[in-house]
Amino acid sequence: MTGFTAAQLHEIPPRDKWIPVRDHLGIGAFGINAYTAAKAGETVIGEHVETVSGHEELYVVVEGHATFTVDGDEIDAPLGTLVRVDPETRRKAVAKEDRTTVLVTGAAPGAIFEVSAWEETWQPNQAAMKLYREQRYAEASGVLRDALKTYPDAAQLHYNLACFDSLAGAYIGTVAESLRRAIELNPGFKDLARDDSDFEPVRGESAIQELVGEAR
Amino acid sequence: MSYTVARIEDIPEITDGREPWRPVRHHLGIKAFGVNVWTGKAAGDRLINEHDEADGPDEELYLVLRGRARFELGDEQLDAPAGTLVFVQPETRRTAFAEEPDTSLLALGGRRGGVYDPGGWELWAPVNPLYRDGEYAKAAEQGRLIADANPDYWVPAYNVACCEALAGRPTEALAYLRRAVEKADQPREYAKGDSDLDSLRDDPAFKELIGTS
Repeated sequence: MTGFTAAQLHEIPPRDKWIPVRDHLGIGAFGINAYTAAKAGETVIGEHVETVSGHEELYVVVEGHATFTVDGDEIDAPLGTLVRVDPETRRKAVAKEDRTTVLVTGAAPGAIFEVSAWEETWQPNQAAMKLYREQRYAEASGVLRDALKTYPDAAQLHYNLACFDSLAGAYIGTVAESLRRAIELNPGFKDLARDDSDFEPVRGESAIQELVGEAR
Repeated sequence: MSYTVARIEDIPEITDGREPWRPVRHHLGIKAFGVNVWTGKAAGDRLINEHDEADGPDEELYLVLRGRARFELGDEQLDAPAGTLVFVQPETRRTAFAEEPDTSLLALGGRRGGVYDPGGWELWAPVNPLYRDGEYAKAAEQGRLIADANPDYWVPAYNVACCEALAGRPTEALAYLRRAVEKADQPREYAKGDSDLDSLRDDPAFKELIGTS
């Protein structure tokens, strides 16, 4: 270590549509990643809240032009726009121009920064999602069960495990327990599960209905 | 407010008599990390003052938003066109210059393994030249307006206390020091070794405030 590390934003190897700035540079004080949409109309920032992490987030449009929707309000966000969002506020962004990039910085006020579980679990999640797309559901579940030994509080892993087990025809109690844990860690998964077709095989089960209610 | 929005160029620049910057963190009300934008209008302009962050100690990340910068990092030089990220360890001396007109730099800071302190140091910037020139009474008068208008921050109140003490006004100094220590733990620690407050050190009220009695 010479006291600094430098990189060009677009030379950092991307993971799907995001650029792992924090991990690449070894930053330990806050979370920071960049998200790019190649074409206008594509999602740059998927709709989400940061209730579980408690992160206050700052979005900076560093390339192109985006449209944010925050707390139901539409925000035109050309190059150089800054958007700060509270943890519990729902937000998303769509590219208005080709090659739109948004830099996202996040941390919890008054707390020591810890790397988010979703960032740490990205690789096993991706491996499992590949098997899922190939309809190899039981194998996908196996990958996540292994990952949960290392990341027992990763809500996304529990949720995806519930999905894969549902599709693999696993015991309903197992599916329900994974989904219950996911919702406990991140209540946002309750709404997601209600309309998620992955749960069609178990939708009529009382254990699932008790967790998410009837499908809309 | 569940969110706040601004365009970088709409945030007014402030200066402490050295390089001007846009106080993004304060403007948007961010509490979890520091963030500012520095712009060099002409090629050759210094973008960020030469400094390290060992006192924090804070990690800092810079992103060249537009134009082209040249960083000096310890003994090394770094050419940094738009899109360059530079992550600097707390102890490393750093400064940067614009290599092209209208070069803009985003600076983010926080503490690894520690809690970020949004103390409001940015707000004191316009008063700093008076302090540096030894105009303590004038600095205190201007500083009071800032501290009174921003009661959630401890740094302006603490700095007013220092200026009042240096101006020979112990009652006012203690009043502002009290405000600062009621907001955060840091001012109590700073006050223990701060020579600006030496004139108060034997005062029982000071000892009680700082916990040195």
